[in-house]
Amino acid sequence: MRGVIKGVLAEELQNSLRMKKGYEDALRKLPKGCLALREIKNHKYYYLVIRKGKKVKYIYKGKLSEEEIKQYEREKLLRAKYRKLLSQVKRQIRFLRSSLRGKEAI
Amino acid sequence: MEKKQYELCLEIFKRFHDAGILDNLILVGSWCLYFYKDYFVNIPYIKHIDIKTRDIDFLLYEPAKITRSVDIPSLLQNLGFIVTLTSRKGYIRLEHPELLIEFLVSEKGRGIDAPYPLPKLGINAVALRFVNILSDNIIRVNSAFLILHNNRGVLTRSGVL
Repeated sequence: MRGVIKGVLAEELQNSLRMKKGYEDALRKLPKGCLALREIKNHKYYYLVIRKGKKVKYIYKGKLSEEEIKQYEREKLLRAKYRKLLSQVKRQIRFLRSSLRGKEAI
Repeated sequence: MEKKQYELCLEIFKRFHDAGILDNLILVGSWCLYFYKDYFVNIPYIKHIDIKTRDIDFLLYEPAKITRSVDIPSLLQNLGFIVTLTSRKGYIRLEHPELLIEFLVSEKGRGIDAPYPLPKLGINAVALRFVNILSDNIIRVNSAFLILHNNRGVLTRSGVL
């Protein structure tokens, strides 16, 4: 029979696994790439920089409004945040799995 | 991890307060103990008693009286909270590696076997029987961070259900 603490850890593991899936889904939904600015003859043009395999692609976006630029910035920050939290969740999963591997009931 | 948890918890409270929904919420469960150290200020407070879980529960004591529309998932999105559905019935939980937020309402009458919808807050809640025992006996705590914000308090009630 599983001990009380192991039961709690198992529940936490389920929470963390669900969270991992949640962050992976959220990252998938966020648009990829970041904006790059190029100034040509005093005009500002934006490109979306995306990595595709080994290649880095520059997709022309043209002139963007302030709101669109802020939206890209927000998404970039959110993506960085989600990545950081995803790695934290993965660490938690590793810890919980190793804690649950012991055979004795706690 | 604990320091991060506290900071995140306080940030959630600040955001709820700024959005004007803190007055509709009661903090229930193990996280009340963190705020009791401000309530029992003249009594020697043992820090070790605050054994907490990752779950932080908020009880909405009068959900029908919520007039303000606040999208809670959007409010907490840039803190890194994601919305997850916990059972097949679709209970919404806001999850973060440090904290899991759940909302509760008091179950009345015949009760419902499904999430209690709260469209104005962009979430749903778990309806539980007898949580009105907690909402009938609340403790208002003036926590240090909340005093800075218009001297509002946080309603807390810990109890075992």
